[in-house]
Amino acid sequence: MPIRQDSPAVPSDEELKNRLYARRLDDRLIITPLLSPVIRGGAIDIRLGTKFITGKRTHYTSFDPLDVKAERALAMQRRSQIPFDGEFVLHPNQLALASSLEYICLPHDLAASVVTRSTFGRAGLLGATAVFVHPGFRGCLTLELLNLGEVPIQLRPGMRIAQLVFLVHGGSGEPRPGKYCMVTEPEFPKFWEDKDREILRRIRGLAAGPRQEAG
Amino acid sequence: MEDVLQSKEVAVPQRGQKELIKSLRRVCGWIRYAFRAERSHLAGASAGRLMILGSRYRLLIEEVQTEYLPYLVETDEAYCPPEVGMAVDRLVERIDANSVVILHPSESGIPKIRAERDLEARYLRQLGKYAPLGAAPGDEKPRLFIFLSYPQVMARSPLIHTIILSHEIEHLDDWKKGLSAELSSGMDLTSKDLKELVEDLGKLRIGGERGALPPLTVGELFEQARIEALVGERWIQVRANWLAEIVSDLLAVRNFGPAYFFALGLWSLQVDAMYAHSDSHPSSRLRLSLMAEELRSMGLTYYSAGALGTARAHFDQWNTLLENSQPTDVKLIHHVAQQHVRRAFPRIREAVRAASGAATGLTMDKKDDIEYAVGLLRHGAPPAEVLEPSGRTLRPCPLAAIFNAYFIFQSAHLDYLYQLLDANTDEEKREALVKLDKLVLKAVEGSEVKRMWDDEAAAVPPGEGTLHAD
Repeated sequence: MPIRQDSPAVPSDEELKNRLYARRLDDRLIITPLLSPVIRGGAIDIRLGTKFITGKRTHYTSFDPLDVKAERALAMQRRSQIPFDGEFVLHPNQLALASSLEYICLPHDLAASVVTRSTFGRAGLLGATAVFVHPGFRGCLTLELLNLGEVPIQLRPGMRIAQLVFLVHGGSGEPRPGKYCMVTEPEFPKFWEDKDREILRRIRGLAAGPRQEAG
Repeated sequence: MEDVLQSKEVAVPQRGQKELIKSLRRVCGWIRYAFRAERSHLAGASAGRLMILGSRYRLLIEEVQTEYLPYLVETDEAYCPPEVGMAVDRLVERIDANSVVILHPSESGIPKIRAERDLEARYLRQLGKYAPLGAAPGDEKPRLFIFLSYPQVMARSPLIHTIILSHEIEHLDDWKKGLSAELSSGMDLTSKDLKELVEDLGKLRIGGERGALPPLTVGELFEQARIEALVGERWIQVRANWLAEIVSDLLAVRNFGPAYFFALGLWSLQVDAMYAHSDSHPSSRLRLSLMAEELRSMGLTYYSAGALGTARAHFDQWNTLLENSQPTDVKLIHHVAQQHVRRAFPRIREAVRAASGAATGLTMDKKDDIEYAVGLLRHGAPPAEVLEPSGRTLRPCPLAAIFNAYFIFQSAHLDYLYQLLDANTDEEKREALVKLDKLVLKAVEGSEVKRMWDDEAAAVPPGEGTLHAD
């Protein structure tokens, strides 16, 4: 069910509906579980999931993206999971990584942007900063939740917290294996897998490879 | 203190695990509060009375905390993934709607289930007139509390979840229906078997060398009547235990199909339980061979193409393993029990079939769903929902289909996974398999959430209960 060449950059609601129920999996826009989908203006709401990562105070002096490695990153995070009918309290100025409840599989000719719903934005909640989702992406989306308000916000899994705004993609958009492929929980940034990191380290005269961790 | 307690309304446990835990937490809170109030009131009183009150509350708090509160899914210390807890809750509700399930961590490595009635009454007895539980008018209390121990080592393996979900819960079904108890009464030893057992036990040597004298035998120490009584008592216990296990296995294999068979097989190899009988459990080899008969009769062997065809090929390999391996060092009573179980198997099977009420078992009815779920896994998506033939509705994927698809995918389609994740080295492949496990857990969560959502959404009038779209 290819999207027409003369179709606009943002697919129509009808086209999105057709994609959600396409028989061929390669054509289908998989958003699962699909709970009372709200499709409006080429966008579909996505919901808050049950898994979270919050920061943890450690004895490390700082977080250096050029020097951090997996063990240190693990020490800096606290992973938690709440039941679907549980709640997560986000305190003022607290950052939490959360996953979307829905697992998303984008077909080869659709890309998407993640946008916080203004309902939550007005309550002081910033929900997504890494906005672009590539064609062929598979996984749960990681939402960067930040409470910019003055009072704690009670978040509950299943709340429609953000929107996926879809865009027609002209390229082949083949599924790409990647560090964030097929994830089902929020992911801490994997700076150590960034290929540019070694170049930046060399420019700064740092030794090749990550330094020996202390502690 | 009674005034303090009576002035507060404390909820009684309601349906559902979360409600129960909430209620128990509140109970603990009120106990502590009441104790503090009592202590301040008795500041000048004798230490003896305070100590008695204190120990009573301490024991209760300890019991509540150690037995129920460790299972809290709100922290990263949770042992059991909440998605599995949801599924367990629903499966148990299918057997007893007025029950609550409490999953609690266990260090034993083997899951166990037990059911208890009138738990609340026990607390009331223990606390006497100070009991802080009070029923609101019209409240329906759960009749049955079900405790399912959840071994810590199994926390992230959907494979083991299958065993827990199916076998342990079917124990409850068996207990409710009284299947194995009824069958057990019809499996007495024949006089020939009894004679053989008694003779053999009589020859058993006990004690070490006594200087120049030979060791004593049981027959020299006890009269034959005493030995017969001992054998008879042990036989009754072994028979009851084995039948309960076999009935639960058959119920599980009818509801969960080959997935349960494969899961038990792999788990038995992991914990080295394939060949050893015990008084509580028959060997996995015997259990698997009986399940294999049931799977054949359910029609697994007729599917030679598609996903179930893959399952059949895998099943055949397991059967070869079972046929070509022999148990060693079998005790006589277990040998007799094995013969009895095999002889009585047609009757056991008929009883289970009649109780489960499905001609071919639920899994075989869901073969299309299994095919569909395998297709989703190959696509890199969790099989949480199935597209209805009408093409405009997605329904929750049955748990049986998710688990069977998981095993089939592992048997025949892992290359797709490695390709999708660009996994080439052994380490990368191990990481890919971990991702597959998490994907299956996501499917369980998605399926359960979808089911719950659809049920509740039907009760909400249009336009209510949801946030406004922007």
